[in-house]
Amino acid sequence: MTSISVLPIILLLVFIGVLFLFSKFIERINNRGKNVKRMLLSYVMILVLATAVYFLLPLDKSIVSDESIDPDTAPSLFHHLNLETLDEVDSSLIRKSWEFDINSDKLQVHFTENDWGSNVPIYLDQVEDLDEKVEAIFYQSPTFVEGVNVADFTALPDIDFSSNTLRIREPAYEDLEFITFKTEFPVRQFTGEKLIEEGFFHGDELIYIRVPEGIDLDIDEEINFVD
Amino acid sequence: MSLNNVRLQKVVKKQSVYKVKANLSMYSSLIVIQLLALLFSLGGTGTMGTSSVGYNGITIRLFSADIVIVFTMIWGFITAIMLTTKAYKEDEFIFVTNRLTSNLSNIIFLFVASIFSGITAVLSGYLLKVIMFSFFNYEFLHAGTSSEFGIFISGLLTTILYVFMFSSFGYLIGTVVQLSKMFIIIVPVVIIGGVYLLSRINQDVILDIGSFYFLESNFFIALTKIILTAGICFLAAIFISNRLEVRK
Repeated sequence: MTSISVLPIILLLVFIGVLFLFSKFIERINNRGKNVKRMLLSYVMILVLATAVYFLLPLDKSIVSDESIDPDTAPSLFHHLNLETLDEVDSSLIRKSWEFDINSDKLQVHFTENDWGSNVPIYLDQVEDLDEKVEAIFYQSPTFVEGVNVADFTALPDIDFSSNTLRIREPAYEDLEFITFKTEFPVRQFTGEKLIEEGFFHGDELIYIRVPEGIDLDIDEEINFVD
Repeated sequence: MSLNNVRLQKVVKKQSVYKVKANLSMYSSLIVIQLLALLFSLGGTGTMGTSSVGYNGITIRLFSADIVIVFTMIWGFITAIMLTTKAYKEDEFIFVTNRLTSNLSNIIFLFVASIFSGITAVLSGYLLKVIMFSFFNYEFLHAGTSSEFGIFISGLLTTILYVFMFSSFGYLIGTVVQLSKMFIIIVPVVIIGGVYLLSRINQDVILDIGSFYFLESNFFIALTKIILTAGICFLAAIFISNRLEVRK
C-alpha cells in the first residue's frame, strides 16, 4: 500500500466538496419555483427528443462487420510465407495486386519508407512460372476491433514500374480514429460487455514480389529474399 | 391498522409531497451537473489503440454516459447530505413532525429524486450519441449497438438504485455529522484511514468493494445487494437521528 492508492480517494473527496459548494451556489441563484420548473421541463423534453431522434438515426451509416473469417482460425501470412503456400491463402486476404511487363533481364527494386518507419515487410521471390512479368501482391489479414475488420480502412502502398525499376512507396502515416458507443456500466454488468475489450485479434501484412528466375536484381536492403 | 399508523402515513405523505415540491431547486444543480458530465463525456469515456495496422495507427474512442451516471450518484450523495443540514430541517417546522416522519419523508424524497435523476442520466446517453452523430464526422463502429429492452430496463432500475444507495451513504454521513460538528473532520479521516488500513491488508480492497456491486451479473442479486446496503444505511441514520433527539 502506498500513498498513491489513497490519492484517488482524497481527490474524490475534494471533488465531492467542490460539487457540494457548486450545487449550493446553483440552487441559490436559481431558487425561483417557476424558473426551475421551466428548466426541468426543457431538460426532460430535450432528453426525450434526443432519445426519439437516436432511434430514427440512419444507423446503417455505421460500420457493421459482415466478416466471416474466424479470428481464432485466421491464417498467419508469415506461416504461409515460410511454407511457400502464399498462393493458397484465401483471395480475400489480397488487398491489392499489381502486374507489370518487363522486357529486360535487369530489374531494380526501389523502396521508399514513410517518416514513421516501415512496418510492412517486403519479400521478393524468384519463380519459374513467370515470364517477362513482375507481380507485387499486398497481403493483409484482418484486424478485428469491436467485431469489425479495421484493416479494410488502412492505406495501401503505392507501387509502380518504369524504366526497369519497381518502385514501392509507403503512404504517409496516419492515425485512423473510430468511434464506438458502449452501453452504460449498470447495463454492461448484466450483459458481460466490457468498456475496453481485453486485446483484439491483430492480423499481419506483407508485400510479396514475384519476379522471373534468372533476372539480374538490384534491390534495396529493406527487401528480403524468400529462401 | 391503528389510528397512529394512519396518522404516521398521512404525515409522511404530506411531508414527502411538500419536500418534492419545495426542493425543486435541487434539480437545477442536477441538470447543471449532468450537462457538465455530458461535456466531459464528449472527449470519450475511454480510448484504445493499436501500435499499427499496415501503414496506419488505429484509435478507437469509446462513448457512453458512464460519467453522467457517476456524477449523478455523487449528486445523490450530496443532496442527501444537504437534506440533513439545519437549513433544510428548519423547513419542517411548518408540519407536525417527529424524527421518524422527517426521516421517512426524506427517504421518500431521495427515492423520488433517484428515480428522476436515474432516468435523466440514462437518457442523457442518447443525447450524447445524437450529438456525436450530428456534429462529429467520425467512422462509427457498431454505432447501432442497443441492448434488449429487458436489459435496458434492468440497467435503468439499477442506475436508479445506485443513485439511491449513494443517497443513503450521504444521508448516513449527514446524520452522523449532525451529532457533532467534530464529525466533519472525523468522517473523512475515518474513511481515508479505513481504506488505507484495509488496503494494507488487501491491496485490491477498493476494487473488491466496487466489484461486489458493479460487477454483479445477476440482476436480482445486484438488486438485493443495493437495496440491503441502502436499507442498512437509512436504518442506521434513523437510529442515530433518534439519539440526536434525546441529546437536543
